[in-house]
Amino acid sequence: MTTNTLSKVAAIFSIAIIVGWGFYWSVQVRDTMCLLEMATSEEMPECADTL
Amino acid sequence: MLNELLLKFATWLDTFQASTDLHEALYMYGWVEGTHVLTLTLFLGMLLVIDLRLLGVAFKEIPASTLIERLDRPMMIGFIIMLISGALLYFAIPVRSTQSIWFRVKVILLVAAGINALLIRNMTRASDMSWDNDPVPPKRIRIGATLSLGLWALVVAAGRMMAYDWWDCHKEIPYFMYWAAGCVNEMAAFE
Amino acid sequence: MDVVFIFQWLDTSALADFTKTWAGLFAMVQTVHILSMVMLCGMMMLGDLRMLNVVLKGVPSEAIIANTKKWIYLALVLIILSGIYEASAIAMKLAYNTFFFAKMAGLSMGIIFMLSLRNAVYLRAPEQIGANGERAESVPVWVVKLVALANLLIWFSVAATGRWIGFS
Repeated sequence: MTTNTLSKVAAIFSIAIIVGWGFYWSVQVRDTMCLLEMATSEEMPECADTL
Repeated sequence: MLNELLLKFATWLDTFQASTDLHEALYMYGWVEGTHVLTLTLFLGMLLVIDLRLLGVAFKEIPASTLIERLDRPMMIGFIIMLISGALLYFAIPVRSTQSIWFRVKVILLVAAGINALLIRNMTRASDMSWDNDPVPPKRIRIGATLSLGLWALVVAAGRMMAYDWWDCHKEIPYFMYWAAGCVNEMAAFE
Repeated sequence: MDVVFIFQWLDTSALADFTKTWAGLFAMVQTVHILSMVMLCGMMMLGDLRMLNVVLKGVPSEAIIANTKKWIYLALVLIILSGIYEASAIAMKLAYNTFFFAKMAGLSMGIIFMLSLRNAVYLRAPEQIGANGERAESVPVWVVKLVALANLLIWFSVAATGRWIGFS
């Protein structure tokens, strides 16, 4: 593989990995915040529907 | 005496609402524990690199002092985060942790690892670093590095064992173990 | 594809019988698993942080990366062996655990990424990062840094989802 091709392939895969796992963890963080809200508030928060 | 004092302190911590909250907010507790375990890779990972160099088994082309000096900061960042998250974990479950043999062993090992680290530091400072570029450092340095790796591995092991309740106070264990774990009430019942 | 049968097989295997009987040994294997994780992630992090010019800037990167490799491979072998041992004890729990599948996806992704793109890109790092002496051809700085970030994120995810299996 030429250095030029390698650069392009590496860049594309790296971006895909960062976006993919970034999305995964953003969902986990959102769920945590929701559970935290459930634990502290009296009534069911709206976010509970999407858990 | 010491056991009573420690238990008193733990019981006092346990009265805080924040302690209960942190323990019961399962996900939050998970994040704190996750942080504690993951920063281990930063702290212990950098320490491993330094110790392997001091043992003369890896990174032999790089001067030992370069690794020691320049990996110190990332290592200490990891250590401080571990210390803070560790304190929070203790705060979340104070009584059980205080009465855990494993936690007590872990603290003792931590102190031993700390003393060993200081000794290595003094040894490297006292020497003229004439061995800095040698692939294999002097024997006393290698012994220090071996002790360091061994002690930290045991610290991790003791921490991992804390999750198990084999030798918790509510179990039937020998008197000596009640004493070592600081099970004050069980010791009184024993007599 | 339904893979539950793999877990059922593991759950009824002789290994599972063994792991469930010896709780003390199981705890020790867990410790080996964590310590290998420290070795793997520590060595990965050293390489990636070096390529981000965060640590050891100016120290030839080739020497650092070459040194980390055998420890990474050793750690991977230990991690997978101890991991299979651990999995056999809770096979049926893992069969329906999303964190476990996320972790396995991350692990395979991480191994392939490391062996293919990460290795190749780091070998062709520009002088500005690598400090190995001028090369005729090199990968742009931003690509090297992007690869380092992606690799850090993958292995962080593998480790973190692993911790999460225990909570779910």
